[in-house]
Amino acid sequence: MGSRLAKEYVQTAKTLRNDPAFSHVLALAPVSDDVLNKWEATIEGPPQTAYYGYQFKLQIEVDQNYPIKPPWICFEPQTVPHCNVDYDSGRICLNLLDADHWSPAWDLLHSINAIWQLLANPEPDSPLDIDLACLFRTKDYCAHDSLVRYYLNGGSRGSTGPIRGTR
Amino acid sequence: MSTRRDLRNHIHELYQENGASNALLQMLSQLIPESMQEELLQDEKQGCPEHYVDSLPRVNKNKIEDHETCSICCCRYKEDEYPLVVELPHCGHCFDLECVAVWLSKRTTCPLCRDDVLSHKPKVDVSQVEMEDDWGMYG
Repeated sequence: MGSRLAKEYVQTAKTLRNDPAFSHVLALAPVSDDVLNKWEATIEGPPQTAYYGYQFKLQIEVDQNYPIKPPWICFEPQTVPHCNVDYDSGRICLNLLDADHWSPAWDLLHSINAIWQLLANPEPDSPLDIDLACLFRTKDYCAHDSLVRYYLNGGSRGSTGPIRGTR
Repeated sequence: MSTRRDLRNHIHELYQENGASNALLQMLSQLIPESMQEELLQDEKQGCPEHYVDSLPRVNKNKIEDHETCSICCCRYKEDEYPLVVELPHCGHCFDLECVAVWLSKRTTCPLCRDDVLSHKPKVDVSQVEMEDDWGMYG
């Protein structure tokens, strides 16, 4: 199954070049061409969310049982305030990524895409960040987004617009 | 107090012998409520029966298109001169026998549509059976 990663590498590069449906995935490739079991991804915050204008990096590790076992995917520590992400570690709670819900027909690109969709569609019923989940569940989106921006701006209540993005 | 120490030593021994052994899991499961024990132990045997994959219908090489790939290994079936491709019942999704065998040893769902492959009763193929008009009415 080692060749699967090589095939994914080629296929992903092709898709990212040609398919506008994945334009929010700014990068997804192995860390080095020699070691295909460690990948890195960069995604853009989804439009019409507090994350828009920011970029987020993801670390991906794949063990030898991939794709029978799901990949391990994690945001960089302390970069993503989101009710399904543990802010300090970057750990993501997404059922697709645990062994019970994973399918070997999924690939890294679609996993990353699912995480991008999770950014826009928080699941407050299985939260890792209770505060954000509570705000979201009570439909106080204004407070939710403000708190997200507060974190994104480095914990200081600065301008509410994007400051770190490179758009 | 002493029983706890015994238990701890026993667990330690088991772990030293074979960390992945089921005996350790069984013992640890005794520490949690009975209703949850079953669930924990069931994790070990979630796949299809061993012979199940061998019973799946093979796909004839002539029926495989050149561009068709196995969605588990992402390889074209025809890359192999003698491709062993199987079709799952009901949903009809196809995979390399080798690839799907590994998956079905752990799970019972189709990788593409999550259809539970064991949930369907075996279909009896009656299309080839000649119906007898007399239904044994004579003699």
